[in-house]
Amino acid sequence: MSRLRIFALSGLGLLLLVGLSFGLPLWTGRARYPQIERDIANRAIEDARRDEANHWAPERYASAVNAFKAGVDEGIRQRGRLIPFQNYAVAEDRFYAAAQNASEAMREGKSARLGMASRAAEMIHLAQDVIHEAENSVRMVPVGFIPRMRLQKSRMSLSEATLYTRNGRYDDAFDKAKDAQSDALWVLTATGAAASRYLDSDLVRQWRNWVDQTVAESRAGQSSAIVVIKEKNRVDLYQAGRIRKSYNADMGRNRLSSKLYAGDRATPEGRYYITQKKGRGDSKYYKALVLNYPNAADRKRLAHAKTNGQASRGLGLGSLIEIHGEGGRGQDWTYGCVALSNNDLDDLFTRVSVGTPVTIVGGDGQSGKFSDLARRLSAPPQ
Amino acid sequence: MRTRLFAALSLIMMLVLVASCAKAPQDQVQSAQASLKAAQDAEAGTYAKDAMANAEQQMAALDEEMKAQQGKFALFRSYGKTKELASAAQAAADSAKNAAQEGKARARDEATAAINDAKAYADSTRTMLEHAPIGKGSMTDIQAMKQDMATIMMNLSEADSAFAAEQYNEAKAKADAAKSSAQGIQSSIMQAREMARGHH
Repeated sequence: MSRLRIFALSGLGLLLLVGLSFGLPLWTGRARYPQIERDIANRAIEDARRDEANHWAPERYASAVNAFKAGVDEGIRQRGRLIPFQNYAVAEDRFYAAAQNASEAMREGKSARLGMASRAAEMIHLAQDVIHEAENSVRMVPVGFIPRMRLQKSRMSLSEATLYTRNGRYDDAFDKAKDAQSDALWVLTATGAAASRYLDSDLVRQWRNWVDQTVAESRAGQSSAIVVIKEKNRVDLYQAGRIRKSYNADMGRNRLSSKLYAGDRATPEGRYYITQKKGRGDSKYYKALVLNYPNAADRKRLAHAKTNGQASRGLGLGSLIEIHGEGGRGQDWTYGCVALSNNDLDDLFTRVSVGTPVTIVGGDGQSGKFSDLARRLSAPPQ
Repeated sequence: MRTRLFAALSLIMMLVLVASCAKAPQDQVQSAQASLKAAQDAEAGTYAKDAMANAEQQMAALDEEMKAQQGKFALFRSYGKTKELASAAQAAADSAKNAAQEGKARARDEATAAINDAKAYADSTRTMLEHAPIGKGSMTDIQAMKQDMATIMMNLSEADSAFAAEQYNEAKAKADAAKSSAQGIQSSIMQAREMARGHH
């Protein structure tokens, strides 16, 4: 073999080797940039973002974005190499992972969004129930500025929660509804605490004693007696120890407390008697049976409250507590008097006289709106 | 010999010249980055989400191209495409900024309208409360409603604060809630009027 031939064959072999080293990677696809995979991953990430997966499934979405970036960086690194040394397998894997993570983020995001929408709806529903209950309690139990303010605040938080739900901001809606529920629960606790005196066993025992004594005296003297049960909005007329008639009655606006001082709008609790009967024209409210309020016990209670700092020194007891007409409104509205409808007062007027005992109690130890409320609010949640 | 040496030197100089011509368009890239930052500062992420995402994608493409060129041997670098991508990224970022400003202005207008509306309702409710029928039975209700109004005014004040902090969506939600509560009080006053008429 001539030298020239050997040289030519060697050249051809080298050319073949070079051709193979460049052509083989291209032919097998190892050196092909994974543009299709990249486009698919890019589109999947964009779809996930439009579906707010970045908000609802942030970790999975970040994994997709990071995998995509890693794929891009790997692509850049491979492109910087000579073709025989290029290998886009890793970049392709990264784009594939990015696409998978993006579609998973979209799925997780949808699920998280639906879950939060459902939780927000549930919390809104719960808050509505608690607010409704708090409104009912506040209607029954007079509360101060702060509980009233928190109840109003809870209503507005609920309103904001509903607005956020409409805008798809379910997590904000959930938070606002939770605020609403928490404020309303606070109000319920406050009203429950205020109503809890109706469950005070010592007080209930005292009320029962008063009623029992009044009934016993009516029986013994074969006389009339009146028992007013505040939480039942009821006036019972006893004759010879037996209930002859019951009337619906409206009480003082400050329904929970016993009267302590003038202007507190509470109906007093204690044992009284009728001192005067006012006919038509003599009373501002149709007719009236005037009671001997304040009695000694009332004076003692206010003096005690002043000593304890529960009432300021300048406060007086007030007077003119009556059973009068213009009542039957179905709400407690008076300054402390007991108001009957004019028809009922006409009826009662004829059955009692000056000196008839009038016993006013908060409750009779049985069921009543305040004791029921206090019981309900003190019960552990279901 | 001298001719060959001269030719070699000329070739080297030409190569150096070509290499120095392929200079990265740093100014354009920095300008695009500044535009993207301006879009972020204009809260495009909140008020123009899609436009912002597009700008970020364009910026990522530019970044990729820059890295690709920098990874090449100096003689093979070409920044023509980089310049195009830098222009596109800057345009997208500017567009995102404009969209954000428009979106924010829209949100501000909506919040302003909601706050003004709620304040008007609050004012008319307070006027109604001043002239509400006060009797022995309704006085406490009126006082309670006045307390509720005070809370509504607090919510409106929170709406104002949110507005001042440029949290327009929150400001609108608070104002809408205040308005809805004021409406509730107005209907209660109407009911009280009806009741008062019924008693007389």
